Amino acid sequence: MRGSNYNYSVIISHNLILETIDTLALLLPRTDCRVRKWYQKFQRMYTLDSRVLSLEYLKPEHRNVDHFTFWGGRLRKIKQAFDGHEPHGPLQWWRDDRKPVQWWTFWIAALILVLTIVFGFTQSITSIIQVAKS
Amino acid sequence: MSSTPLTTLSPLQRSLRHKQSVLELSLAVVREIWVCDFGIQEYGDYRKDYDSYFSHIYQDLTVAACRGDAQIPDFTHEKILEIVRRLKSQVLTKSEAIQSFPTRGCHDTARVERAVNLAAGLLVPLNFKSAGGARRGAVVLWEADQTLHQLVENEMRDLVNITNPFHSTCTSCDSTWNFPTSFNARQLVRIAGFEIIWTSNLLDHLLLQDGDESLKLHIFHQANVLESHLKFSKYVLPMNTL
Repeated sequence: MRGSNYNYSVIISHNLILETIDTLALLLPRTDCRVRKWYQKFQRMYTLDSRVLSLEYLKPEHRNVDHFTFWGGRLRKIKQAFDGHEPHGPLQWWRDDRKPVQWWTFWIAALILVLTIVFGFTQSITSIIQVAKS
Repeated sequence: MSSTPLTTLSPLQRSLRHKQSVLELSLAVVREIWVCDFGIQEYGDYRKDYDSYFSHIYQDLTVAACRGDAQIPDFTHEKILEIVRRLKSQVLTKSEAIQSFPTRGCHDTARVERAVNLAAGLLVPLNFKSAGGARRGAVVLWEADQTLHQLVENEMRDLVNITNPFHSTCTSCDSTWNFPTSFNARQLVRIAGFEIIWTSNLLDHLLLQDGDESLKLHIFHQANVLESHLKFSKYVLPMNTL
C-alpha cells in the first residue's frame, strides 16, 4: 500500500468494519473445513470474495449477541428463526444436531424401533414356518 | 491528425462503453482505488482477491452507468477514478464533489451527478440511488449536504434503531446469549433450509426475508473492500482538515 504518502478520510467507521468482519467470521468460520468447502463451491460459482476465508477467528468471548452493536438485531432474528425451525423430513431430522442429547435419544429410539420390527417380523415368520411344518 | 493512437491509451483513459482487456483494467482500477503497488506479474498472484470486487462492483456499476437516464458511456474510467480519489482524500459533501468535478466537455448536471454517484458506489458498498439499479436491495439517497461518512453513519444508525429498538434501554437483555459453533451459514442452509443471497450491498447484510418456500438470508461477502477501508483508516486525515 502506498498509504504512507497519502491521507485518507474515514468513510466507513472502524467499529462498523470490524463488527461486520466478525459477523462473517461467525457465519463462515475458516476453522471449519466443511464450511470452507461449502463456501468455496459458491465462490467458484458466483465469483464471491475469497478473502472471506482468510479473516481473523472470532474469539469465543465475542460469540455473545451483545458484542454486535450494529448487527445484533438482525443476528437475533436469524438465531430465533434457526432455533424455531422444526425439521421437515428424515434428512433434516438426521442433519439437525443442534441439540445433541435429543438427537441421540431420537435416533437410538428409532434404531430400537427398527430392530424390534425386524426381529418381531423375523420371529413371526419363523413361528409361521414352524407351525406349518409341524 | 495529432490525436493519440488508441493502442497507446492506458486502460483508464478509455471510455466506460469501451470493452477492453479485463486483466489490464482490473489491475489499473485496483491500483487506483485500493492503492496497491502490484506489477502485472505480481497481480497474477493477488488477482483472485480482487476478482469479486471487479466483477460485482466495478464492472456491474460502470456497465449500468451506460444505461438509463443521464447515462455516461463517454466518460473515461480515469475521470470517474479522479472523483473516487477526491472522495477518499477529502471530506466532501455531494454538492462539493459535483462542483469539484472536471467539467471539461460536460456541463450536464444530471450526468455529473450520476458520475459522482458512480464514484461513490465504487468506493462504498451501498446501493446509491440513480446508480442504474445494478445492485439489488436497500437503496440510499446521498443528500447534497452530506459527506459519505455522514451518509454511512446515518444509515447504520437507522438500521440499529429499526432492528434493535431496545438497544439503548435494555443493555442487559439476553446478555448471556451466545452463538454456538453450530451457528454458521452452512448449518442454516442444511438444517433450517435457509437460502443464502450473496450481496455486495452492505445495508442488506444479514437481512432475513420470507421467501416462497424458505427464508432468504443476505450475506455481504466483499470482505476485501472492508479490509481495504480498514487500511485507509491508518492514514486518516488530521482532525483540522475535517
